[in-house]
This record gives sequence, C-alpha cells and structure tokens, in this order.
Amino acid sequence: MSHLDLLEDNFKHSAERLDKPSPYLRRKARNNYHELERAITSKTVYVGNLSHFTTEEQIHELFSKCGAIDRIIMGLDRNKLTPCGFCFVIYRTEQGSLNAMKFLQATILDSQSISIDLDPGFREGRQFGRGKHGGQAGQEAAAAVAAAASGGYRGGFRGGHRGGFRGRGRGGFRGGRGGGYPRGEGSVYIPSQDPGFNSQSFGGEGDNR
Amino acid sequence: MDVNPAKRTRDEYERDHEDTHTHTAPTSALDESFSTKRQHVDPTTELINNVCKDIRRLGENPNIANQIDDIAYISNPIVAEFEKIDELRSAILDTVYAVIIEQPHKIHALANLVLVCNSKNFVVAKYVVEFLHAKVQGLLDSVGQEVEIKEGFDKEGAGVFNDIKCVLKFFSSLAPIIEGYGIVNIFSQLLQFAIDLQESTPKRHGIAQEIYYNVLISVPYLLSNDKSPEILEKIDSIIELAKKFNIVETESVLLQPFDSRLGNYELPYVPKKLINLILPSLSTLQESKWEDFKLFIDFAPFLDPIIEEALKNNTISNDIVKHSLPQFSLPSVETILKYSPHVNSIDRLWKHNSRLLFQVYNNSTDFETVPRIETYLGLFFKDIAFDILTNLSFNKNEAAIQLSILDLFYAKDLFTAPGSSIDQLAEVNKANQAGENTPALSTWKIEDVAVESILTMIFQLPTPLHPEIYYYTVLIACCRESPESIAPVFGRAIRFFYNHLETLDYELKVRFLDWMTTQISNFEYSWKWDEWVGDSERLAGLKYHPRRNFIKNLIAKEIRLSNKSRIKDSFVSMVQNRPISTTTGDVSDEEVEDADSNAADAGTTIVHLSEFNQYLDISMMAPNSEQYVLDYDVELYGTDEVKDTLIKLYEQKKEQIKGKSLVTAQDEIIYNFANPDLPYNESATKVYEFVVAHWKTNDEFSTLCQDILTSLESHPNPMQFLVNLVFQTYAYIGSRSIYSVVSILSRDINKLKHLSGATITYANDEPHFDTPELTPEEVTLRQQWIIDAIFRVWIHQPQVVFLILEYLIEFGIVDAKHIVTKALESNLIIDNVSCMESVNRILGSANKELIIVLFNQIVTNLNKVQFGDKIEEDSDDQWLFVEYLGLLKSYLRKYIKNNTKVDYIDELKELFGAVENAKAKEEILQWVDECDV
Repeated sequence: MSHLDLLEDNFKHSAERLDKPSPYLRRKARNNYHELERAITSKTVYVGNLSHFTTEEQIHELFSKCGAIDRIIMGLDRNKLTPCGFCFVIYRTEQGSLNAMKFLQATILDSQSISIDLDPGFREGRQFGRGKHGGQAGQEAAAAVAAAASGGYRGGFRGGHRGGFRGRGRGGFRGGRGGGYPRGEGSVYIPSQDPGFNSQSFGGEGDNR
Repeated sequence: MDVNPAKRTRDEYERDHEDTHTHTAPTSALDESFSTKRQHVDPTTELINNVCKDIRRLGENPNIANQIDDIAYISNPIVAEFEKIDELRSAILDTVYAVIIEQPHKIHALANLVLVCNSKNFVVAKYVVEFLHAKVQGLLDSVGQEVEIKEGFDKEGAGVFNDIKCVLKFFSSLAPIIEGYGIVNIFSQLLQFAIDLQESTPKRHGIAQEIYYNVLISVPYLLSNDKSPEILEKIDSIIELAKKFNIVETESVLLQPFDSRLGNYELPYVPKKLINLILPSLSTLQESKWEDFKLFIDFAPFLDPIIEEALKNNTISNDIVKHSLPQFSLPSVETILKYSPHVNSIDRLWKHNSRLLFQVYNNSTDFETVPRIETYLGLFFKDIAFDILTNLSFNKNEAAIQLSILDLFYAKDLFTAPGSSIDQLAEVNKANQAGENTPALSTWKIEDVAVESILTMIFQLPTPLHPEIYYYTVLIACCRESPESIAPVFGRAIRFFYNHLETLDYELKVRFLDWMTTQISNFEYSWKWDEWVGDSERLAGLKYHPRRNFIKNLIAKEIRLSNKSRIKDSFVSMVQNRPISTTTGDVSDEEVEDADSNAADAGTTIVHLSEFNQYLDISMMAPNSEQYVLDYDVELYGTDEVKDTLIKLYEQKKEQIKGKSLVTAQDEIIYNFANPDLPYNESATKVYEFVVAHWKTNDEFSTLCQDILTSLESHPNPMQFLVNLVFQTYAYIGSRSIYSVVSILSRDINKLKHLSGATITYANDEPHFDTPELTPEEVTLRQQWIIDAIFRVWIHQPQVVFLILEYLIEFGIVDAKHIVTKALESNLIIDNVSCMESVNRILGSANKELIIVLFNQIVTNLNKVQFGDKIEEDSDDQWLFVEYLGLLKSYLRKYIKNNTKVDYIDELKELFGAVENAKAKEEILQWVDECDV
C-alpha cells in the first residue's frame, strides 16, 4: 500500500480501506497538505472517546496487539492534569499505526467505543485538552465530523451493548423482506450523452427506475 | 418469487444493526465526507462511482429475479460507455479484479454481469477476459522476481497462485462465452505443471501442491453457468489427469493443534490435510454424475431470457460471441524454486508446511452444523472464507459482513436460516431422521462456517497470516451484527477449546486466552462463569492444571484490560428463583447467600460466584505475595530487626487502600526505603533526589554509589541492597506511568549499566566510570538482583514488571538470558500469562545463545520432575512436566522448524539427550527430526 494510494480515490479495492486518513484529516488537508502527508506516514495514532478512568496500562494492553509501542501519551485536562478522554499512541513502526486504524476502530475499551485516527505526530503541549473547560476539544470535533460525514467517527457512542454469552436468545427471523434492489442515489445512472448512441436494448428499462 | 425468507440482504443487515457499531459501508470511492458540500460533481465521475459501487455489491440480494434485473440494469451504462470513457473502462476492470480477489463469493454474480454485457456488446467481455488474462500472466511473470517492500510495512495479498485461483474460478463461470473450452485447457496446463513440479523433487513441493489444489477447488465453477454433458466430460478428463499428481507428504506432529501428552489423552480429532481431501471429494461428486452437486444458484431461468432478448436486439451479432483464452506462459521449475511468497500470504502456508484443517464444530452435536470437511462443500467454503479474510484485511467490518451473508451467494437451501439455534436444529434433525422432511432440511449454519473459518485463521500454526487482533475484531464485528445468533456460536467454540485444554497446544492456549479476553471485553465481560465453578473447586490445589491455569490467566488478562472491581462484578450467574419445594441444581447454598438482592427480572436472581474472587489477586506470587514481600524485604535489610516496622508499614498501606473504590497500580506499590523508621533511609533519600533531579554526571553517580556503600558497611550484602535501592527507586518514581519509568531509565542507561555490569558504550566526551571489571558470575548475580528488584517493586502488576524488564533488555542494561532463565526457574512461564507473553516477545529476536539457554533450562525443569508416563490428574508436578513438554514443542516449531539459519540441530539433539524420562526424550527427538528436513 503506497502512501499515494491512501489519498487518491481509486478502484483497486472492493471496499473502503480503514487505514486511510479520516474525513476530518482530509478536510484539514485542504489547507495543509503537509500535515496530511505527515499523518499517513506517521507512527502515531490519536485515540478518542476514552473513558476518563482508562489508564495507560489498559491502552497499552489493547494497542500493543497491533505492534510494539514506543510511547503512550495521555491527554490531560489542562487545568486539572487528569486524563480527559484521549491519548496518543506512538508505535515503533508505521505498520503499527496502520494496524491500529484497521483493526481497533470502534473497539470497546472500558465500555467506550474508541475512535482512532492517524496523527501528524505528537508535539509537546498537544497532550492538553483544547476544550473550553480544559477538557478534550477533539472529542467534540470528532462528534461534529461524524454528524457531517458518514464514514467518519461516530463520537459519543456509548455502549449500547447487546449479546454476550449469557442466555441464548432466539435469533428470530427478520421479517419484511423488501423486494427489489434498494436503489439509492448510487444507482441513478446518467444516460449516454453521445447523440450517435442509439441502442434499443435498454431504452425502456432505464426509464422505469 | 424465489426469495428465501431466511436470507437477509446486506441492506437489511446494516439497517438492523446501524446503531450498534460504527462500521462504514463500502462507500463509493468518491469521498463521502465532502458530500454535504458537494456542489457539482462531474457526471462522468459520478457515473463511474455509481457503476463501480453497484459492481462491488453484486449478488447481495436474496431475490434472484431482482438480482438479474439489477444486473441487466447495471449492464446498460457499462455497455454504452465502456468504449468511450477510458476512465470508466479502467475503473470497471480494476473493480472487477478487486471483487474477484477480495470477495470471491461474488464471482458468480459478477460473471452473470459479464455474460449479459457480452450479449449486448461483446467488446466489454472481450476487454474483461483479456484484462484478466494479462493480470494472471503478469502474476506468473512476477514469480521469482524480488519485489522490494518498504521497510516497516507488511505486504498484503494472498500470493500469486492464490490470486490466480480466484481468476480461474471467474473464467470457469464465464465458460459459456469462452472459445473452445479454453479454460479447461488452462486447468489441464496448470495441473500438468503441478505434476511436473512435484516430479522434479522427491520431497514435498509446496507450490506444486497449491497449484494442484487450486485447480481442483476451482474446477466445479465450470458448472456454475454450463451444465452441458460436454462440460461434464471435460471435468472427467481433468479429474483423470489429477490422479497423476503424486502427493508427497511427511508425517508432521509439530503443526498439530492438539497433543496427546505422551499418549495420556485422546485427541479431539486427528487433523486432516487439505491436499489429501480434494481429489476424493471431487471423485465422490463425479460418481453421482454431479447430480448431488447443488452449490450454485441456478440463474438460468432468469438470465437466459435477458440474454436472448439482448442478442435479438444486437445489431452486430445475434449469436453469443465467444472469446479466446489462450494458455499461459508458465515459469520454469527453477524459477518456481526461487519463489518466495511474502510472510502473510496463503502461498506461504502452502510452500512451507502441509496444510492441516482445524475443526471446531460437528464435534459436539450429533448432526452437522457445518459441511463435513472431507466433502467438496466443506473445502469450498473454507477456501472462500480464507480468501475473504486474507484479502479484505484492510476492512474488518466488510470482511465480517461478507462472511455473515455468505449463504446469500449460494443455493438457497444449502444453509438453514441464519440465527437458528442448536435446539431448533436438533428438532429439524429429528424430523429429518424420521423422514418428515423430503428432501431433508439443512442443519448447516452459515455462522458456524464463518466462525470456524476465522478461528482456523487465528489458530493457524506456526503463525497466523495477520496479527491475531484482526481476526478477533472480525469476530467482534460479526457478533455486533447479530449478537443473539453469534454469541451462542462463540459459546460452543469456547466450550470446545476449554474442554480440550488438556491437549491444546501451548501456543494456541495463549491465543485462546487472548481471543476470549478481547472478545468478552467487547461484550460487557459476560460469560457463563457458573460452568467453570466445578472445575475451579475441583482443581483448587493444582496451579499448573491447564483448566485452572486458564481460568486464572483469563481473569488476569481481563483485569489488565479493565479493573478488578469491574471484573469481580462479572462473576455472576442468573439463577431461576427457587420454586417452593425444589432447589436449583448446581448452585450451592453458600453462593446463594452472596446473592445480589437486585433481581434482574421476575423469576431470576443474580448470584455472585465468589469462587472466582481468589483469581482477582493477579500479583506475581499470588496468593502468597504478602509473605513474599515481607521475606524479601527482611532478607534485603539483612536483619530481623526491621520485621516489625515493615509489618506495621504494610498494615498502614492496606488500611489506605481499603477506603478506595478504585485502587490504582500506584496505590498498591509498597516502597518504604525512605521511611525514617527504617535503616539507611538517608541513603534512600539521596537516591530519590538523584533520580528526580535533572540529568547528572557519571561522576556524581559514582560518588553517590560510593557514599551509599560506605554507609552500608555493617550490611551483609551492601551491593545487593544498593542495586535494589537504585532500581526500585527508578521504578517507583516513574510509577505514574510506564513511559515515565522508561524515560528516566533511558536517560541514565550508562549509569545503570555500571551497576548491572553490562558493557558500556560511552558517548564521545562522556567521562568513563572508573571500576574494576566484574567476573561473569558477578555480572550474573547483579542482573539477577535487578530482575528481583523489579519483581519486588511491581509485584502487584506482573505486566508492568515484564514491560520494564523488556526495556532493560532493550537498553542493554540486563541480558535477555537472565530473564528467560528467571521465567523458567520460577515456573512463571507456565503459571503467569504476563510472563508467557513477555518471554514470547523477548524470544522474538532470539539468537542461538538465547535459544540454547531456553532449551537447556527446559530440560533442567523436565528433569526436576519424576514423571511416570501416566498423568495423575491430581499431581501438580505431572502437569508441570507435560506443560514444559508442550512449551518445548511450541518453541521448536517456532524457532527451529523452517528456519534456514539454524545450523545447530546436532547440538540440540545432544542437549535433549539429557532428558531423563525415556518416553519424553524419544518424542522430543522425533520433533527435532521433523525440524531437520
């Protein structure tokens, strides 16, 4: 996977890559391309939506499954100096941060569905929350992004847990099978604009949809 | 009309579970983040995005008539614009290839699209066939050519031959539009190639086996769109040729997931080899003239009219245009030998080892929940699932969805309705047996097929293709999709592994622990703990019994991801309220007394299972850590006089902690050196101040050490005290965070090396320490003290102990061999999961010296136990013996087998010759022989 591939829209895959920079970063990149370039070659991931009680050890426990960790920097409330819901995980290799993006997105840690994004790299001072009250602004930002973009973070998601192994629920069939192929926006084809094009075989069909 | 009500579409899937997870659908490559602000998108770009999105989702519709309508619809813009818009053409071709490789279950649907396009405009199909032919030729040409990979990045993809397999399946589905059975010729060509490759060597030729297997697993795709007698004849000829392939196999026990423990246990099953199963499975189908072969959806009734209609309206040709598919130019036998598939590819699995099949289901039910592994369908679904898992690793959510809806892409009665419970299936089975269902209804569960395939990948030996966490999170994603139906599937898998812990391979036990912890941490830590109460009670005195060991370490790992009080709260069981006269089965009175009075709902009570509370003490020496600390400290001070003071201090600590609702790692640390009631507290204060101060010079450190040693004049072992004081103080000061410890350690590496006796590399202008050389024995002793000091100060947090020790190794302060030795001498490597994991990490970069130390120590430990060949269940020592044997086996597999750098096999044989137990020795030497090929 070359870096360029991460940025460019292409058709080399049959599904979206989860290790590409988030819409948040891509939007920011319109003003600062270098920041984005740094992010995708970064060994650092930003982790958001943590519980305020989650410890460095817990984060280490989960994130070390993606590669050897160099350092974890806990995000701190700038007034109280207590954890405020985010951190930076710095891996030893870039593969570590890409793995975290791919494999840990939306994993539950301490009952919180965590959000992960590539990060242009940690600099001193960034461990402090930028929110109005010293807390985390990033979490709010992520939530705002989620509202604007499907496919980004869904910040603020809390638990909503189902399942587990206790009690074997009956699957139950899902009713209400819809008939046709649900055609969303994605299926509205634009007919040929070539005046020379004249084929009978699909004129009528297209109009029905 | 042909809707199977049991099948759900991809969209229903997502709608049902939208709120439970944040996965993103395979959106169009067009970045949707801009959608809100999208003013005007170029119509061509939009067309390309929409068409490609639809291609990616082909077949995700259970209604066959609609599916074909969709295909006809999608074909229109493709046919119209394919030749005119270059970007569209190349985007479609790329997408087609991506779907074939990454989502091979969609091959049939994709082929249908190409068939329809071909009938409208043959150029489209011609392009597709030629493009894919060139792709395959390109893959073949790449064999033997070293491709440079950027350092630090894993390579993706399943490998050249695995990718070719997927394209061959697709070509087979296109059989009706391929000239003169070109695809059959290609199968024959490749099969002959495999035969030739294997004949070139008397040894097993992994790639030859792979090609042989891949051809045979793909051949039945010829029947997906063509059921003519001619095609059956062609298949017969391929099968006939395949019989000439010489399967060369060696017996391999090192790769088996289970071990009989010197014949003491029966294996849950003897793993079968893929290579031995494929031809017989096809022969079976052949014998019945393929009449029982009902894998593919029969699209013909819907597809044929559309194709006929299109042909009728086709101005160029009213007949189906066929395309030529020439044979490939194959690499030479020598080139194939040079082929080195990358580490995370399926090709690699084939090349190096016999491929064994891992089984989880069909073992505990008296009917099949997955197709039998010996059958073609059994092999087929495994093959597809492995490909999806391997090639979709960049999107775990998509992989989970596709695996969960796999049934949608194949004949509708093949699987039972998703979510069917085992009880329901037992009923179905009963009715089948009684002949009430004709034909008999399927009891196969798609969930079982998916989960078993994922577990196979997790439990792959010697190593999984992707980091285990990928597979764990695919399973988690599957479970979030439909918790009610997947959770019991996991439950059965967990029970299967747990019930066979006695025989499960050492390394797989570690993976099982890891998977289960990750899994349940994502689902509120809920597990039916009541099932394990009996084992925990029965095995109370047996530290090394695999089951007790598992329970203990599972809880330890859960705590590491969470906290003690949370985990304690998870030890609950739902108990039916007692009817007036009878008692509830296995819950004893004592436990009911603990019962939480908050009834969950009418009729059930939540009961706390206090049996498991003992495992909440995760400290290194549990349950004797308190005594250990006291003994250690008294010995360290070298006098009994400190005992009372120490006891008083520990009591104070306990009182402090008692009042806290959430006890942190820092709270638990017992560090008393600077306490004014203890001797040498002034020295301790000096060390403390030295460490918290900014960087100081080597001279200042020397002076500090000298001063302290002088003040310790009356101490029986001043150096041991100094080492402890210094190292415990570093660890204590950084206790707020592991990385604080690491940063102060890294600041003072040379100073600490000075104490540990390690070789110091000085910076240019750095003043040297002026010290006499230590003897090797002295160095060993110092480093053992350091290890003990870290053990002591972080006794309550084993994972921190080992993390710090690993950093000390990395900084060169402590030699890895001392830690490995300590782990084995103390038996912590068997007892404590943090230690197991750490040693595995340390050995990751092991050299010969370390490996020899490791094996030597294992032999020593084996010889410590009198093992009488028969395991006595209640003897802890016996378990220790077999566990060490298992450890040895797993390390042989990991570091010696398939390792071309190992040139000391004879040395190892000699080393293992020292094992006293004859039976064990014999077995070990067999393992070594297996490595030596």
